[in-house]
Amino acid sequence: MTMKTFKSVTAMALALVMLVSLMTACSSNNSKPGDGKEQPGTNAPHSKVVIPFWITPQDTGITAWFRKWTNEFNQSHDGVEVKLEFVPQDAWQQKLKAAQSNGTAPQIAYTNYASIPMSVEEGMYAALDDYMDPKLFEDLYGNIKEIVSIGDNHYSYPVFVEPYQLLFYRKDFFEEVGLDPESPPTSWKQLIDMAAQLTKQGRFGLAVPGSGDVAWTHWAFQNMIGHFPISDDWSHATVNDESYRELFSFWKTLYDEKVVPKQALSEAWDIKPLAEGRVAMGFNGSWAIGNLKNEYADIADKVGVAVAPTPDGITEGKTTAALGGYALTLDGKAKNPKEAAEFISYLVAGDPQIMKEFFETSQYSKFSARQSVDELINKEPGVSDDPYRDIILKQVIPFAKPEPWYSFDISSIYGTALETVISNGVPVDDALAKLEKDINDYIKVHNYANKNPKQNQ
Amino acid sequence: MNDATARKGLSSQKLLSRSRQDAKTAYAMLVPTFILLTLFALLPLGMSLFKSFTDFSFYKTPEFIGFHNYRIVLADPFFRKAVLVAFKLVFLIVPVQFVAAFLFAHLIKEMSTRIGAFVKTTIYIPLVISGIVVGAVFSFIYNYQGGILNSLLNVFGIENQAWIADSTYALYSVAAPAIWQGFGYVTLMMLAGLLDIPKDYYEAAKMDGASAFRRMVYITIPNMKNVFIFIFISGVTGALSLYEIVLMITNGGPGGETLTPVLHLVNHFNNDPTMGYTVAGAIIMAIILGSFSAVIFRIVQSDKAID
Repeated sequence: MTMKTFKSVTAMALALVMLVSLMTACSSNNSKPGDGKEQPGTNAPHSKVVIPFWITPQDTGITAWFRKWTNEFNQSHDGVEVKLEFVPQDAWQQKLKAAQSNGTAPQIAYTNYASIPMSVEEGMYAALDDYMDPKLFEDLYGNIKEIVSIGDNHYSYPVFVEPYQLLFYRKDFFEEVGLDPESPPTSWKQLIDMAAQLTKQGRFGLAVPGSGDVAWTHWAFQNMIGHFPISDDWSHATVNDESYRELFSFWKTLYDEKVVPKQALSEAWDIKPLAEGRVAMGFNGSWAIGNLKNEYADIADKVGVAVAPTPDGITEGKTTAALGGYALTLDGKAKNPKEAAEFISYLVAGDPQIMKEFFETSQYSKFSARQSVDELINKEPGVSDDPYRDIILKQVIPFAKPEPWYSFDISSIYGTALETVISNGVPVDDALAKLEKDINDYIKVHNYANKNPKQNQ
Repeated sequence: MNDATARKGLSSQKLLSRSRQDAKTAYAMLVPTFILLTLFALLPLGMSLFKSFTDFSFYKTPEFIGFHNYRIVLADPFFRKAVLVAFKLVFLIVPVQFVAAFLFAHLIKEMSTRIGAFVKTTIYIPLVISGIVVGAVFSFIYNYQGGILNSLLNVFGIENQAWIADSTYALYSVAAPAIWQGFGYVTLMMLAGLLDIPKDYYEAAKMDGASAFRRMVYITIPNMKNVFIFIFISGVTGALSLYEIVLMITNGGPGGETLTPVLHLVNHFNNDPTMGYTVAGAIIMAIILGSFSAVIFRIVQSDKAID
C-alpha cells in the first residue's frame, strides 16, 4: 500500500468513525428486545399489548396511588401491560408533540379539560363511547359530564375536578381586628372594606393573582359575572358591558386602595403568603387545601374557606368558580384503543372504592366527578363534617362552570387589557374598548366565528 | 534546458496531484459535518418551511393554505409587540454589555497574572449557569416582600417597588440579568482581542507622543473591529432570542411589556393544537435575525486587522 492510498483509507475510515459516533450519540433509542423498553404500541414479548400512559408528576401519595392501581390492573389482566410514565410538566408539551410527530404518542394521557375540545377537532383524541360501557358516563355529575362531551360523544373520563376561585382567609387575623371569623365577605365591596381593615405594616389584606396568572384565574370571575369575553359562537367580543366594567373597576380598586401587593407575592396557586401571615385573605383553588394540610398543618385550623365574594353579595346558588381538573384521554391514533379504554374504565370509572382511595390520599383537596364515589366518601366518618369539603361540595361545585376551551390567545388578550389598567393606569373604559377591538380583530384574522366545536355539535 | 523543463513539469504535476489528494482528504473529513448539518439543520429547515404553508397538525393530513399562517402571525399585535420588545431589549442589553466589558477587559489586562486569572474565572461563572437558574435567582432579588433589592431600598426609607409588575421597571428588570449573564463572556472576548494587538504598536505610538485616548482610537478600536462585529452580532441575536430569563421573571407581563418573540412562540407551541402559527413565526424570526446579521456584515466589512 502506497503512502497516498494509506492516507486516503485512513481519512475515509476516520470520517466514517466520526459519523457513526456522532449518529450513535444523537440516538436516544437504546432499547433492546426484552429489556422493558419496548416501543409504545408494539407488542411486548409473550404477545402482551403494551399501553403507554403518560401523566405529570404528582405528590407522593397520588404517585403511589397511580403506581398501585396500574400494577393491580397489569396483574389482573394477562394480555395487557400499562406502562406508567411520569413526564415533567415543563417538558410535557415538547415530549408529547415529539411523540405525536413520530407516531409514538401515549395511548392514554392525563389531560387538562380545557384543552380537549379543540384537540378533538384536530383528531388528537378518540371518543371513548365505542370502547366503554355507556352506563359509566351516567355516574358523572351533570355539569361535569357536559365538560367531557362534544355532541353525543365523550372524549375523556374525568379523574377529578378542582374549583377555583375560593376565598381563603385567616380567622386569627379576623379576630385580631374585631371581625367575625365566621362571617367572611360575600360581596366585592365587603371584601375591599375588610381587606382594608386587615392591612397593616408587613401584611396585606388580600392576595390576588399577579400579572402572569390573571389570564386564566379570571375565568372564575368571568363565570361569576355570567359570560366569557367572547360570545358562545365565538363570533364577537362581549366585554364592553356593565358587568365587565364592574369587574375591571373592582380589580383596579383593590390596587388603588393598596389592600393587595403591587406585585404578587407568589404564584396564583401558592398558599404560602397566607400561611406565613403575609396576607390575611387570598383567592385560590381547592388544591390549596392539600397544601395547607400537608405543609402548614400547624395553622390549618386558623384558615377558613368561603365561597368567593360576588358583585351583589349573593353567593347561594350562584356560579362563583371555574372547574379545572384532569381527565384521561385516549389518543386519536391509539393502536390498542379497546385495551386502553379497558384500563380507563378500571382505574377511574369502575369500582368507586379505587377513586375513593384517590380522594382520601389527596386529603379531599380534589373532588370527585362521580356520584357513586361521593356517596362512598360521605359514608366515611368525619368526612361529611369537614367544613372545607362541605362548602365546596354543596355551594361551589354544583354551580361551577367549565374553563373556556377557546384559544388561550383570547385569555391573554383579556389579561393584557386588565394589566394595562393596573400597571399602566389606562382608564377602564379605554381598556375595555381596546379589549373589544383586539378580540374582534382576533376573530376576524383567525376566521374564528362559529368555530366553537361545542356549538357545532 | 529540456531536462530542467521536464523536471519542472514533473514537479508541478506532483504538486497538482498532492493538492488533489489533499482536497479529497479535506472533503472526506467534511462528510460527517455535511451529513449532520443536512440531517439536523437543512432538512428540518426545509420541512419547517414546507409545513409553514400548510395547516399542519400531527393528526390530519396537512393541506396547503398558502401564506395564511404568515398573515396571521404578522397581523397578531402580540407578535408585533414582542418583536418591538425584543429590539428594546437589544438597545438595553448590547450597548451596556459592550461598553462595560470593553472597560473591564482593559482593567483585567493591567492586572497581575494571578489576580487576572481569578477575575476571569469569576466573571465567566454566570455564563455556565442556565437562564432558568439566573431567572429564578433574580426573581428572588426582585421579590416584593423580602427581596434583596426592596430590602436595600427600605434601608434608605424608600418603600417597596414592584420591579416586575410595574411597566416602568419590568423591561429593565429582565435586561439586568441578561447583561449580568453575558458580561463575562463578552469581557473575555474583548480581552482576547486586546491581547492580540502587538505591544509594539502602543510603544511606537507612545514614542510619537500619542495620548491614551488617541492610542485607543487609532490602535485599539481598528484592531478590535472583527471582535466587535462578532460580539455585536452575537449580542443582538442573543437579545432578540431572549426567552428563559423572561419566562422565569415576568412570563411576558405586565401587559405584554416584556413578552419576547421566542416566549410568545413557545406559548403558542404549548397551547395550540396546530403548529402552523408557531412554525411560521419561527421562520419570520429566523428571517429577522438573518437579515439583521446580514445588514451588519454589509455595513461593517470584516477584514484582516491593519498591519
